Order: sequence, then C-alpha cells, then structure tokens
Amino acid sequence: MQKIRKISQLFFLLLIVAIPILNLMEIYFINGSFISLTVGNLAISDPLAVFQAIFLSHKIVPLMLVSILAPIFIVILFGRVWCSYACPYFLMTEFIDKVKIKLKIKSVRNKNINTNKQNIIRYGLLLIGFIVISILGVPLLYLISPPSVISTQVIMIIKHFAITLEVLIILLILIIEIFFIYRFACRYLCPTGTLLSLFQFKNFGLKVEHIGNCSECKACIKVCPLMLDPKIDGDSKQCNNCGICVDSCKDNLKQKTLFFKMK
Amino acid sequence: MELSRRNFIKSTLAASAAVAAGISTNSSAVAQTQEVVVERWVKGVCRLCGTGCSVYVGVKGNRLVAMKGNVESMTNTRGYLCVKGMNIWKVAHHPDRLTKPLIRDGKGVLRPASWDQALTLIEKKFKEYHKKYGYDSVAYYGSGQCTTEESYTFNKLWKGGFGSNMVDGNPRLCMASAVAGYMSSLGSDEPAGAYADIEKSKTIFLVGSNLSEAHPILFRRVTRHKKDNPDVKIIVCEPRKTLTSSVADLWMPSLPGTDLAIFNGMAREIIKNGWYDKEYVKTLGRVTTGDGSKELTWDDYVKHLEKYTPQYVEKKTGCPAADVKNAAKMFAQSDATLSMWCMGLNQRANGVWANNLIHNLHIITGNYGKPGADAFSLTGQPNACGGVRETGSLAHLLPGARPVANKKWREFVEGYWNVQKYSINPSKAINPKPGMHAVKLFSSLGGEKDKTKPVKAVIMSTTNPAQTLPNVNKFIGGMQDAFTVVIDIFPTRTAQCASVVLPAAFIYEKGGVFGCSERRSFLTDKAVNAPGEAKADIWIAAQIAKRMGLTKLIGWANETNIDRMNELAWNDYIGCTANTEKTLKGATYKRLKESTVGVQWPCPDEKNPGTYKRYVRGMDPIFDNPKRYGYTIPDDAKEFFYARPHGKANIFLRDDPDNSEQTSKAYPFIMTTGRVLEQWHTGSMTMRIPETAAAHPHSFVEINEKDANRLKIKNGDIVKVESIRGSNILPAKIVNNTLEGVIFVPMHDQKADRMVNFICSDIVDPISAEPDYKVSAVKITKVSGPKKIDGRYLVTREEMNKKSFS
Amino acid sequence: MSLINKIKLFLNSFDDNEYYRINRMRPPGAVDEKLFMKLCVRCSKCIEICPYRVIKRSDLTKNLEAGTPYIYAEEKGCQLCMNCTSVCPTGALDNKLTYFRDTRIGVAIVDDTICLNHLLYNQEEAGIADGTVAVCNQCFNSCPLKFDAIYLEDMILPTITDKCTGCGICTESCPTSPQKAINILPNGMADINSAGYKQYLKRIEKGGR
Repeated sequence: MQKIRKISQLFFLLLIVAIPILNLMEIYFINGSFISLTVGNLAISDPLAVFQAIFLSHKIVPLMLVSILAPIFIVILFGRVWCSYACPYFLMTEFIDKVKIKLKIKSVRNKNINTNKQNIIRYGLLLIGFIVISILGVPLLYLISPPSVISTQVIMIIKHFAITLEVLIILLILIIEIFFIYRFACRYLCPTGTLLSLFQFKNFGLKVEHIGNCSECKACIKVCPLMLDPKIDGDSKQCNNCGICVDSCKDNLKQKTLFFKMK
Repeated sequence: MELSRRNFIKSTLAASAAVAAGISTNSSAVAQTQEVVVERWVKGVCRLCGTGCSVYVGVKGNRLVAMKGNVESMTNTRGYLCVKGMNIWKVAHHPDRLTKPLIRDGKGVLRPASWDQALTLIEKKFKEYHKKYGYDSVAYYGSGQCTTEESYTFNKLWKGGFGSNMVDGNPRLCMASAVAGYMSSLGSDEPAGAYADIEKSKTIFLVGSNLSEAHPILFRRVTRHKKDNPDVKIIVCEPRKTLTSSVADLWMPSLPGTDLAIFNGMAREIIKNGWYDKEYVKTLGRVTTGDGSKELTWDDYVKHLEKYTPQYVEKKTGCPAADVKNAAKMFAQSDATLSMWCMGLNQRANGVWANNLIHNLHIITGNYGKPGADAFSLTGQPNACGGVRETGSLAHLLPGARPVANKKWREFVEGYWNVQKYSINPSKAINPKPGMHAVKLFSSLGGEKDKTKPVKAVIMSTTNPAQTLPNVNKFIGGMQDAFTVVIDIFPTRTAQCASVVLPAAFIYEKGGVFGCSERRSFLTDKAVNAPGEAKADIWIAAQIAKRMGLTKLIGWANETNIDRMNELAWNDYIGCTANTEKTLKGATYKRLKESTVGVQWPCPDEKNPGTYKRYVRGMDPIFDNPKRYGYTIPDDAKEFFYARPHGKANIFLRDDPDNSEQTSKAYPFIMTTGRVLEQWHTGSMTMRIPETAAAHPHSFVEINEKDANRLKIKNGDIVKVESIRGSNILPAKIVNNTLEGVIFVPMHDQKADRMVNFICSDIVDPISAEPDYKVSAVKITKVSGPKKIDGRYLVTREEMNKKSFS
Repeated sequence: MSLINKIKLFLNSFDDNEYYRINRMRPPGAVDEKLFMKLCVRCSKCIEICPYRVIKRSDLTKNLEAGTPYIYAEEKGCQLCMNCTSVCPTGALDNKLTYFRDTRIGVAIVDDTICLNHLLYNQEEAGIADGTVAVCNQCFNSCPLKFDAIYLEDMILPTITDKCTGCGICTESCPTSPQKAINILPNGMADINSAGYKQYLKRIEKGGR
C-alpha cells in the first residue's frame, strides 16, 4: 500500500519535471503545472485557482468548470488522495522527517491538538486568504500553496534556467515546519488542501474505518502525518487517506481492525 | 484617455532620449549609436554595397570610433547612409579579427605561424605545382571588395607573371551577365549614365532589383525624386511585392526566370503602337541575332516579336496582360526612361539575354544619350566595377575590360607589362585562352591525388566561396583537398576549408581605390593601423611576387609603405588603360587624394572633370580625340556607340528559353534568393554588428499565405526546404506579398543547415557563366512547430579546425 | 482609521512605478489588464508552451503581478505562433484567438525624435546635411505584417496602422540605443492607475464593485 503511494508520488514528481522537458521537445500533448494541467483535450485545474478567478472576476468560462470537475469528483469519491498520492510537497516533508530521524534531530511533533481546532484554523486561514485577495483583487493564494509554487518553479528552471522569488516562501514554510510547527503547511496553511477538503463529505467516499478489538497500541496515532487519531478522525476533513495508519496497525494482522471502506 | 496615454509615452521617451543624447544636444544617429569623441575624420568609401557611399570615418588614437556621410558626395547625396553602413566601422575592432597567419597541420588544426613560414609554404607549393601540373594549376579567386590596386596586382601577377589566366573573382557570381550584356549590346562594359540620371528621369523601370533593401540609398534617391515630382512613373517588375514594388505606380509580378517574355512583350507593344523612336533606331540601332555578327532588318525584329502578345506573356509569366501594355506605354512615352537592374537579371540562366532585351527596349525608344535616360546595371559590391571589371580581373579579360582573346589588346598589355622580359612562364606571353570561370574553377579544384581535377591550388581574397557558390556541397571537398590560401579578416566557411589563412587588413586600415556602379573611382585613406600582424592584400601579393621571382614585374614589390605601394600600383594601372575608353589617366593619385567626390571615367587628363554620360558629344571626352582610343567617330555624330563598329548598338533577337531549373511534381515551388537591408553577403561582417544582427539574426523562408494554408504551415513553423541538391531547415514566415508558388530565402546565414546555397541550382548562363541563384525548384515539408532559434550564427576560430560545417 | 483603510494605505505606499511599462506586454489574447490580474492564476502554462521562450514569468519583487506572464519586447518580441492562447485555463488569454493577424497585444509607437528615418526626413525637408543620418527601415522589414500593420509614409516614415498586433518584433530589431525608437504600448494597461489592485481600491472607494 505504501509502496504504491510512494511510486505514485515519485511519478508525479517526475511528471512536473517531464512536462516542461516534453514541451521543450515540442510535445504539447501534456502541458501545464499543478495549478492547471492539460492532457490531450482534457483540462484539469486546481479548484483553488479556479475559485479565486471566479470569485474575483465574476466571470465563468465553461472551461474553468469543466476542468475542476475531475479533481472534485476524485475528492468526493476517494478523499484528498491528491495530497497523499501526488503532492510533491507532501513527499518532501516525509523525506525531511526521515532525514530528521536519521540525523536524530528532535521532532517538533507536539501533543495532538483537537481535530476540530485544526480544521477551524485551516478554514480560518483560507477565509483570511480570500479576504486578502478580495482586497488585493489578485488571485495570489497560490503563493502559499507549496505544490503550485514547486511545479511552476520547476517550469521556470527548465524553461528559463531561472527561479523567481516565490521559492523564498517555500523556504520559509520549510523552516517553520522543521523547527516550529509539525507539518505546518499540510495541516494549516495549504489553501489547495483546505479547499479540497470542503468536498470531503462525512458519510460518502473512501474513509478509514475502525472496528472494535483495538489493542490500544497507539501506533496509528504516532505515525499519522497530520496528527490525527485515525480511530476517531477517519472521516475527518483533515484526513487525506494516506493509509499510513492502516499499514501501521498491528491488529490488522490478526483481524480487520483499521481499514479503508467505501461509504 | 487615449490622449493622456500618448502623452505619457511621449514624455517618458523624450526624457530618456535626452539622457541618451547627453553628449550632444543634437539627437542625431551619430549621437545615438556611436561615441562622438572623434579626433579626426578620415575620408573613405563605405565598405559594403555597390552604391559607393562616400563617408568619413572618425578616428580616435588608433581606433575607429564613428562614421558619418560625406555631405558633398555625388553617390549618397547629402551624406545619407544606411544603417549597416553607419555601423560598419564596428567590425574593425571585433575580437574575432584574424591577426596571425594560420597554417593547417597534419591533424587538420590551424596553428598560428609567422608570415615567413606561411609565405614560404605558399611559395613552395606554388612552385611545385607550377612545375608538376603547369601554370594553370594555381588560381587566384578575387573579389569585388578588394581595392583596385590589389586586384590589379594579383591580375598582373597571374596573367603577366605566371602566364596563366586562372584569375577569376566573385563578380562572376554577381555581374558577369551585365558585363556580357553591355559588351554585346553597346560594345563597352559599364553604364553610359550615372546615378545623377535618377533625378532627371521621368520613368524609372526597376527590374530584378529589390532596391529598397539592396541599395537603400539609391532607393531613397528614387523615392525622393518621386515625392518631389509626383508625375514620375515607377515600374517595378519582380516576383515579390517588396517595399520597392510598393512605391511603384505599376508592379508587374512575374514568376522568377520568365521576365524575358515581358521585355519582348513590351517591345512588341511599343512597336505596334508606334511609340518607338524611328530616327534613333535608324541611326544607332542594328538588328542582329546570335553573336551579333549577322545584320538583320527591322522587319525581322518585328516578326520575331509577334509571338509575344500580352496574352502569351500573361500565360508565361503571370504578369497581367494589361500591365504589359501599361508598362510599355510608360516606358516609351516618357521623355527619359531609366532602367535599373541588379542580381534579379544577372544571376540567371539566361542573364545575358535578359540584359540584351533591356538594352533593346532602350535602343528602340532612344533612351540613352538624354539626361535621365539610361540602362543602368547596379552592382552589389563596392569595387566590382572598378576593381574587377575595369582591371579585367576575370578569367577572360585584361585591364580595360577587354577580352584576352583580343590579340591587339593582348599584345599591347604584354608590351606594357614587359611580359617578354619578366614572365616566369617559358612562353613569355599572356595566355590567349581564357581561364576558368568561377564555377568551373571550383569544380576543377582538387587535391593532388585527384587526377580529374587540374587545379591544385587557389588563393582567395576577401570572399567566401564555401558559402556563396551555388550548390556549394559540390565544391567543399575540392576546397578542402586542394592547397587553398584564404585572405580574410574574419573566420569564414572558406577559411574553414583553407590550408593557409592569412589575416587581412580592413579597408580603413590600408586604403585604396574603390570604383562604384556609376564608373566613379574614389580613394579611401588609411585611417588606422591593422591589428596584430594583419596585412594588406597588396603587400601579400607583393611578397608572393617577390618569392616567385617577379619582383621586377610588380614594380612596387619592394615597397614597405602601403600608401606608396597603392600609389605605384594605381599609376601602373591608369597607365595601362590610358588609351582605352576606361581611361583614368586624369585621376592621378594626388587628385584622388584631394577629391571628396571621386572621378568618373573616361577621364583622360587632369583637367577633365570626369564623365557623367558616355557616348554623347560634349559630355564624353572620347569624342574629342577618338583616334587616341583607336575609334573613329563621324564629325556630325551627336551620339555614337563608338565601341561598336559603325557606332550602332545591337538590337538582339532573343527568345525566352526556359534555361532555368523547372518545377516538377516532386519539387513544385520556385525558390528565389536575395538580400535583406541589414545584412550583407555572407554576414561575416554585418552579423558581427549587434545593431544589424538583431534585425535579421537568421534566415527564414517566405511562403505565400495560400501555399502555407495548403501545406498546413503556420507562421514560425520549422520547415525543410529541399531541392535535389540539398536542404535547409528554416523557420517559415507567412506573407501575402510573394506570388503563389514562389518562396524566398535570404542568403546571409552562416549556419550549415540554413546556408541557402546548399539548395541553389548550379546551372550557369552559357555566355557569362554566371550561376542561376534566382531560380531553383524546391519542395517544402513541415518539420516541427515553432522553435526558438538562437540568434545569429558565426563561424568561430574553433570551428575553423573542424572539417564538417555546423 | 479602520483596518481596511490601514491596509489600503500600506498597499498604496508601495513604489509601483515599475508597474506599467512600455515594451512589456502580456501574451497574445490577454484580456483587459484589470480582468487579467484577476483571472491569471499563475499556472505558467503559457510560459511553458512558448517555443521561443519569449514569455517570461514576472518576479515577486516587482508587484502583485508576481508569477504573471510577460513579454519583454526589447529582448525578444512575440513571434505570433499563437500556441499560448489555447492553453489558458481561466480565459485570461482569449482561448478563441488563433489567427495571428487578429492579435492585439498592444500598438507600436514611433518616436519621431530619435527614429533614424524621421531624422533623415527632417534633414531632407529642412535642407540641412551633416552626414549623421541613415536610412534604416528595420522596423518595417522585420514586421510580420508589413504593408498591413506598418507602412512607410512618404516612402520613408514608418507609420503604424490599426492592424498592428503589438508583437514587438520591431522594437526588438530597432537599432537605436539605449532608447528604442519604436516602442510597444501594451493594450489594456491604459496607465499606471488603472491596472491591478490600485484600480480595485479606487473602485471600492467609489462604493461597491
């Protein structure tokens, strides 16, 4: 399960490097970044970007709506697998965690905070974000969405051998993550993830389920990258269905205890 | 809103312009593009096209720092220049300049050597080949960009010293047809009139010339004349609708290679409507055919023209029948008609015939002797007329532009040069057989192992045949195998093939005489010293002469001062042609040094101001004393083509054969080549000027919109242009101003897959041996979508060590 | 002072003189600048697909235009391949624009105080001659729509018509320096005050959007 996820993450990482190279080679079949991607005739856009554009311009181009259908549909069905299976930033933070363990640097993982509180902070930040952009009149939320910045910067590097200053924001977020707040971007900041979780419904789609007989080893709580309690928060909007908890559960060997279920 | 926006722009621009102009309040071109700290201005002539613009180069210390036009000039009136001329001085100090002789070693790497080493090698090889393969195995290939003194020295060295006529030059590729046209129709080479005719003309007939880009200064003279006199008519006959044709009253579109039918069609209309000058034809015209030996009657001519009905012309050329009629009327019914043509007529498989037909039109309408009336062939190089045509530095000519086959003249030159005494050739005479013309020369050039190639060594000065010859692929191998010496200022494709590369001095580093299209000789003074060990060609020629044992033949071989060398060579040359119609006897070196306008030949003595119009009594000094030049002119003749027996110009019966390459199903497009304003020739100089390189960094292919739509080619797409000889990969430029089925590619790019001469047809004119650059059958295929092309491409010093072109 | 006013004041204090500049244009098909700033989601698609690499990504330092695409005509003008218009996900670039002659990126303006041809013409008319002027025509020659978008008035003065696409190729090839004699005035960016957030602020001040 985790192997598939890793492969998928690496595939998407490769993709953001490959697309500009393919474009350089004049293969335009696939084009774009994680803000908006075109594959053949199919357009896929980050709902965050599209919502911002619609919100600010009061203008709806059919292409916009068509392009966000697929991502929203996936979120409704499978949860925020985007974050866990595709986001290059999630891969990066996981990698940082591993390095930290290797180097024996103390984790900044504190005690669990209430999931609801987490959600309130996330949505609060998103709301503030929308207020700010409405004042500015410019869809700038991409700046704090790490996957968007990373993928557009990769394009810049490959196409123009240059980076723009958005990279500084990523560096800042990384510093906060490493030294202060565990998984700061994924848990609180990332507007892409927060917006996507609006389409996660409590009683529909793929959720982590728990059935009795738990040995209370709390392994799942320790491994959860978003500091959730999988037993309780399986259907939370915060969960991105990464499945690390499911794989970590030792009770599963004896009996189906923690697992995914389509509701 | 609109207004405020404009004002905003204006104010920002004005502010920055003021900052830019800083040094001088006069915001002129000099202030903008050049440093204006000039210590002295040195008189000279523009290094580029054949217009012969007179300039002053600004010198500071030992550096060129600026350029300005000569306001007294007769060529570029009021001292106007074009943008590439204004910037040409910048190449003199370019870091790519060659400053040391280079010799290719066994591994194919060019190694720096001393002059002595290089010249010793040349001497050894030349002597060896002379002995082993005869005197014709060593050739000289010159250029219309060498000074007259240099061309004359090399010509004398070869023809007089070696007894070999293996001397040719790149003017063979640019105006050999015009030479043959003038010689066969009027008897003497070069135009009768001058640029001054532009302002006096009533109708201007431009054919085969994109004047606006090739000769922008003359184009401005034409357009200014048109603006001042709106009743002046301009007729333009060319396949592309260019800026030139856009100012025309009548644009006659014609498929490349077919305009002979148009000229005949116009002649038919003129005669049919009785617009021709009966008196003129009777006294000064002579109908003839073939080589001109047999005289025919006027009726034969009329009969010959019957075939060329406007309908026939339209079918053949694509030019509307009504336009032929209109053009004929404009041409014939003006007081003075001036025809100007350039490579569009000369670089053709039937270039000489095309020239003849233009002359026909002028003879039957009597458009020669009057002010403003002339048939004027423009040249593309600054000294093709003066240096190569007049000094006879072509395989079949001797000084005075007279054929080597002409026994009387040959014997005179032999005597003048004292060939009997000095020649190293045992025959002790000038070879009466013409040498090989350019294309033949290079197809006969090969290594010692190749028994089929009789020419083993060639010395090439100031030209770039490895890029400019048609179907150039055919010749590169020979150039690489043979012993090739290249004299140039920059690394070029030819230098890449060379065995020895000699660094040359730039024109402003050596000085010398340039003769432009209108027979005007103008002296450039030496302004600065050449960088490093670069030397003037005349010095190189003198060294070779010395080493070959011809010190006495080349009287200036022992001189060390370039100025003195030039002067001695010039004096020798004007002495040689003093009694021909091309006499420059009056244009002494002193006079040329002092003159700021130059001298037009014939100029038999120092008091003569030079000749504006030839063949007319009162204007042409030949009429004063025809005996001196070996001519007889009746006393009552006002106008007389003295170089022809009986003084009558030939009206040739010429058909319109399809000698050019024809399109086929596989190769359905006609490709024509040409120039753009900002670049010149192979771009070895102009591509090194940032200002002009930015405007035209690489070649492109102009395709008509309809053709492009049919082939699904979009603007900017990369296409392959292919003929049976080779191919180019070029970006497409979709335009709606060329004819359908015609594509155009400029010729300046040095990149191997954009060098258009890989595609060009190597058919040559049977008379002048000038290649047909203007018509090649090609096909176009799309390679890919738009792609970034990295700016200009220049052959670097490193690339000179590589065998293959990249 | 209310919070929103404070924010407004803070944002207004930025030095945004750089904001609007000649010879800096949006890619072809860009909608009006005000709308463009709202619609452009900075996805870099147009930057990525541009085969000539003329579309550059604006830096964060410049303004709130961070990440938006620009063409800098002085470096290299738009070559009008029209690849970029179709990829825009939000319609900030008009997806329907595919024919290069319909493009209106901006309009070229000739500065007659430094244009070489103008200077030559002025000397001609005034009857002066100092040998410092030159015939140029580079803008005309390099124009992909010559005769239509640009023609030579009196056979010498470059004159722009309303067919000018504003591609900037003429600016790129103009030989005058340091200031180009032909410049692109980008469309939709009417002036310094009407683009981006400033315009927005102005309008909310006037009451409502």
